[in-house]
Amino acid sequence: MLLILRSDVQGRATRWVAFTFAITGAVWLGLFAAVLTVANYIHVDVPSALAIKLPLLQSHPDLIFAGESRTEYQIDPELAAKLTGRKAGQAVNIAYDAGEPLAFLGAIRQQGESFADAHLVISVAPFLFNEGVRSAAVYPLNVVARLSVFEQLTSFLPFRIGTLIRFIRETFKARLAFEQGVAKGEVHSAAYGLSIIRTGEPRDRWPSNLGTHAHYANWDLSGPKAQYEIGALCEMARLVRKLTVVIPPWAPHYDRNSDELWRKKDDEYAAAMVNAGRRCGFDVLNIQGVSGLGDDNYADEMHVIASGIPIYTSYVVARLRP
Amino acid sequence: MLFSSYTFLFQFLPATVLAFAAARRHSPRAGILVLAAASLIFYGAWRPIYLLLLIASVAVNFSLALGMEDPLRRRAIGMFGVAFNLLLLCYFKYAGFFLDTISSVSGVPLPYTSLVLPLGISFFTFQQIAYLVDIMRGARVERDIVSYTLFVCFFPHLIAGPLVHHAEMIPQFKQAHTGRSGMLAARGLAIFAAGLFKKVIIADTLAQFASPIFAHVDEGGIVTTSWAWLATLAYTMQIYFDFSGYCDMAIGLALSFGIRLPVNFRSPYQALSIVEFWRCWHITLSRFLRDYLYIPLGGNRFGNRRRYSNLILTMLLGGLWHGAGWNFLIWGGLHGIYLSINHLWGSWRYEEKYRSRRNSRFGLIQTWLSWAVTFFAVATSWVFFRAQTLSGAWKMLTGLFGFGPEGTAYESQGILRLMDLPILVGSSWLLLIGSGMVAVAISVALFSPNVSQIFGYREYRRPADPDCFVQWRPNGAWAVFTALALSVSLLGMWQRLEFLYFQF
Repeated sequence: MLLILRSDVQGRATRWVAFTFAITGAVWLGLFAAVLTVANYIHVDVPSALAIKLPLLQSHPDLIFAGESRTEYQIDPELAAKLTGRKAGQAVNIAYDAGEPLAFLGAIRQQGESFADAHLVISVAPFLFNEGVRSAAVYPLNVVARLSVFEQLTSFLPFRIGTLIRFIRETFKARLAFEQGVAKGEVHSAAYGLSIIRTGEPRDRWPSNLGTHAHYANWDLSGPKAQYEIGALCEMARLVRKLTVVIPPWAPHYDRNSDELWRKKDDEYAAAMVNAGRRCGFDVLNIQGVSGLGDDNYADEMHVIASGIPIYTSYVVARLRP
Repeated sequence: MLFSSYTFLFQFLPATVLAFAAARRHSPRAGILVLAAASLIFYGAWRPIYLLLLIASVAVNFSLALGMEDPLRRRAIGMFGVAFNLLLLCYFKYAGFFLDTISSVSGVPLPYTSLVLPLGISFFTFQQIAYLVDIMRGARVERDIVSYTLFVCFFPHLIAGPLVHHAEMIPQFKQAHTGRSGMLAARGLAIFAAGLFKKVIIADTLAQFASPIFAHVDEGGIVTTSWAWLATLAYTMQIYFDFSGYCDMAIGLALSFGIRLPVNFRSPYQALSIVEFWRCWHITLSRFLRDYLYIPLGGNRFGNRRRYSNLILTMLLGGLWHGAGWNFLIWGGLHGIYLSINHLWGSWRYEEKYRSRRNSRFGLIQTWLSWAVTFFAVATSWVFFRAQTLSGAWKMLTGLFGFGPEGTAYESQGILRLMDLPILVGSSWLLLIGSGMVAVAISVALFSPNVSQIFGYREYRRPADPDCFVQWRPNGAWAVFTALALSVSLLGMWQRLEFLYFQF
C-alpha cells in the first residue's frame, strides 16, 4: 500500500516536472514573440555602430566610403583625399563590421543632404546576400526587421536564436543612439573613420579553401537578404551623386582556378551585383587581386593589416570613375 | 560556467542529469561517481589549469586525513594540514595585499605578480580545514576518495557555497534516495527557478543603480544624497538577491540529485538585531566562524571583555575571508563592533528579551525601531564592502548624509536597462524608477516568506521550517508560477552578469 502511494506521488511529481517544462516552453515563446514585436516596432535602420560614425559627415565630404569590415579596416580616407586632390575631411570612412546596404540607405534617408552630392563607395560581401549564412554575427539586422514576427520565429528558431537575440539587443541600442542624437553629435571617430587591425592570425588558422568558407555556405541568392539588400543598393543609387559598389579581394593565398566551388559561387554573386548595377545605374568594381598586396599584408583570409592599407586604398581610388 | 548561462542549463545540466539517472540505475556509488566527474568538468570549464590545483588540494587533504588515523600523529598532521590550506589560500588571495601593504608602508617596491584568484578557493579550503579540525577532535576519517571528492567539489556549492560540512554531506552520498527522487526533483526545479529569478531579474536589474555610482566615487567623484541612497540601498538588495538566489539555485540543483544542502539565508533583512541578522545571513559562514574560530578563541567563556574582543577578531577575519583589502577588514570590524554593542545592549537593557522577536512585550514601535537601526547599520556597512577604494567608500558615506568633499558630482545618462536592453528615460525618471524598484525589492525581502518556508525545504537531518501562508505544491498553479519565473529568467539571461560571490 505504501509503495503504491509512494509511486503515485512520484508519478504526480514527474508529471508536474514535465508539465512545468511544457508551459515554460510555451510562455517563453510568447514572451520572446512579445519582445520581438517591441523590437520590430522601435527598430531604426541605422545601427549604433554606424550612428557613431555619422558625425564625420559634418565636414561635408564628397567622397564617402561605406560598407563592411573590408572598407572599415582597409580604406584610409585621409590618403584617399590626398590622392584625389581633396582636403582632409573631404573623404571619410563610415563602414562598420558586417555593415549592410540597408543601414546606409537608412543613414541616407536620415541625412539626405550629406549624401546628395557625394560619391558613395560601398563594399559588399557574399554573406550579405547569401541566405544560407544565418549566424548571429553577420546576418543583416535590417533584413530581420523586415520579416514578420512569425517569419522571424520560423526562420531562426531554435538553432539560430542568437541571430534574433542580437537583433533585439542591437535594435534597442540603435533606438537609444537615435534618441540620443548620436548621429548628429560630436565626432568620436579618429582617422576619419579608419580602424586598423593590429595583429594577424597565424597562417595555419586560415581556412584551407574558400569554396567551403562560411560566407559561401548553403549558397542561396534567392532569399530576402538578396532581395532587400540589392533593393537598397538600387534605391541608394538614386539618392547619391554617384554610387560605386566594391567587391573586395580575398588574400592572394587563395587561387580561383584551383577552387571551382568558390569560383562558381563568387562569379554568380559578382554577376548579381553587375546586373543590379546595370539595372539601377551604379558602377561595380570587382577586385579579384591587388598588385603589390601579398599574404604578408593580410591579418586573415580577408582583412589587411596596416601595411596593406595604403596599397589597397591607392588601388581602389585609382579605379573610381568620377 | 555560470548557473545562469545557456551552456550550463542546456548542455551541462541535462547531460549530467541523464548520466546521473543512468548511473543511478546501476548503483548509488555509480551515481556519485558521475556527480564527482561532472563537478570536476564543471570546474575545469573555467580554467583547466586551476582544476589541477583543486585536485591537488583534494588529494593532499584526503591523504593527510588518512594519515591522521594514527592517534599518535593525528595532531601533528592535522596542524600541518591546516597550515597547508591556509598557506594555499594566503598565496592566492592575500599575498598581493600583504606585499602591497608592506610596500606602501616601507616605500620599498616589492616584486609581485598578480594571480587570478581560483574560483571557490575560499570555500573549498575552509571546508577542508573544518574536516581536518574535526578529525583532530575525533571525527571519523572518510576512506572513500569518491565521496570525499564529491563533498569538496560537488558543483552546486563548489564556486560560491553554501559552505558545507562533511558530516552533513558524506552520509548522504552513501544513501539511496531513489524512492523519492521524482518529488525531490520537482521541488528542486521549483527552488532553482526561484533562485534564477532572484538572480537574473531582481539582482541583475538592481545592479545598474549601484555599479555606475560606486564606480564614480571610486574614480574620485562625489554623489548627491539621493543617488548615494539609491546606490547603497540598491546594492544592499542586489547582494542579497544575488547571493541568496545563487544559494537557492545550488539547493535546487542538489535536490534534483537527491542531496540536501544547508540553507544559507532565512530572511536576514527582517532581523531585529545584528545578532539575529548573522543567524540569517550567510548562515553557513557564520556557523564556520563560530565553530572553528570564535569558540576556539574562547567564545564567551572568559568574561565580557574577552567575548567582545573575540567577536571583533572573528568578524575581522570574516571580513578578510571575503577579500584581501582594507574595505573588507573595515566591514568585518564594523560588524564585530555592531555585534558587541548588540550583546552589551542586550545584557544591559533587555537581558534575553531581545532574542525573542515579536514578543508580546516587544511593542510595535520598539520592533520597528529595532528593525530600522539594524537595517541602517547593515546597509551603511555594505558601502565598505562594495566600494573598491577607501576614499570611494568615504565619499559614498558623506554623500549619504549630504556633506562631503568637493568633486565632480555623478551625472546619470538616464538610461534604464531592462534585461540589459537600454531605454532612454532621463536622469530624474531613472532616479524615480530606481527608487521604485528598490522599494519593491525591500518589500519582497521584508514581507515575503523565504524560499525554504515557501518550498517546505528540509535540511539534512533537520526538521522543515514551519509552514507559512504560501506553500509549494506540485499542482497546476505552481507549475505556471515556476514556468513564468523560468521563462522570464531565460529571456533575461543574455546579460550574463557574474554572481557577486564568485570574487570571494
